[in-house]
Amino acid sequence: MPIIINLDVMMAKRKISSNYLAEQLDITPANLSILKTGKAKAIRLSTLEKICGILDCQPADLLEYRREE
Amino acid sequence: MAKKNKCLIFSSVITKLLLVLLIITAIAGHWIAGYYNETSVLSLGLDSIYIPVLITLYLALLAGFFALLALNKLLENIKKSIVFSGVNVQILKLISYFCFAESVIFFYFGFYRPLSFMVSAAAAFFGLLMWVLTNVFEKAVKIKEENDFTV
Repeated sequence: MPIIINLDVMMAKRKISSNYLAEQLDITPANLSILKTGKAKAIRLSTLEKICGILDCQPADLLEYRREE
Repeated sequence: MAKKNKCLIFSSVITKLLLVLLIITAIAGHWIAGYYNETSVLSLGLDSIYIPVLITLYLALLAGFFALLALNKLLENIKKSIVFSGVNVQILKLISYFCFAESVIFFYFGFYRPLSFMVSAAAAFFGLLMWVLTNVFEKAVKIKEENDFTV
């Protein structure tokens, strides 16, 4: 998947655990894991907005485009 | 919800009953073929078609048996709430193949009894219906996957 979600990096910077973030986002830890492990096929803008609000960052801090070779 | 379960149970029971009926027919196959040959062929002064009837009967029973087994597996999956999955797509494909096989079997018998061509056409039609249903399920699985992996 060319779009990489650097959620782990931002969570480590803000020292926020997966369980806490999942609780704040009102999603299951399993769903959060889908995001973290790059299995997600889509992310809702509302979810992205919440993540940016909790982690105090910009979408560009979380999303990275890497061209497939 | 109870109504849906009753419908599922009913389908499951009918499928299992048909499986039993198929097995009984397979055991009594040569008597059925013999009876048909006696009453519908020899009594009219026509040539015996005992062997073609027997071949058609057992081949049709075989295809029907496996189709019903596949259908039973599909119903078991639905009971476990496994509906839109790759496994069920494969099962539906199998059922359509068995319908087409039945069509070929009855087409062969059509050369002895032309009415069998109509049965062959009906079986081919059901095979096509199941094939289209497979396409629908394949698409549904893709949509479900997109949904499941949307956070």
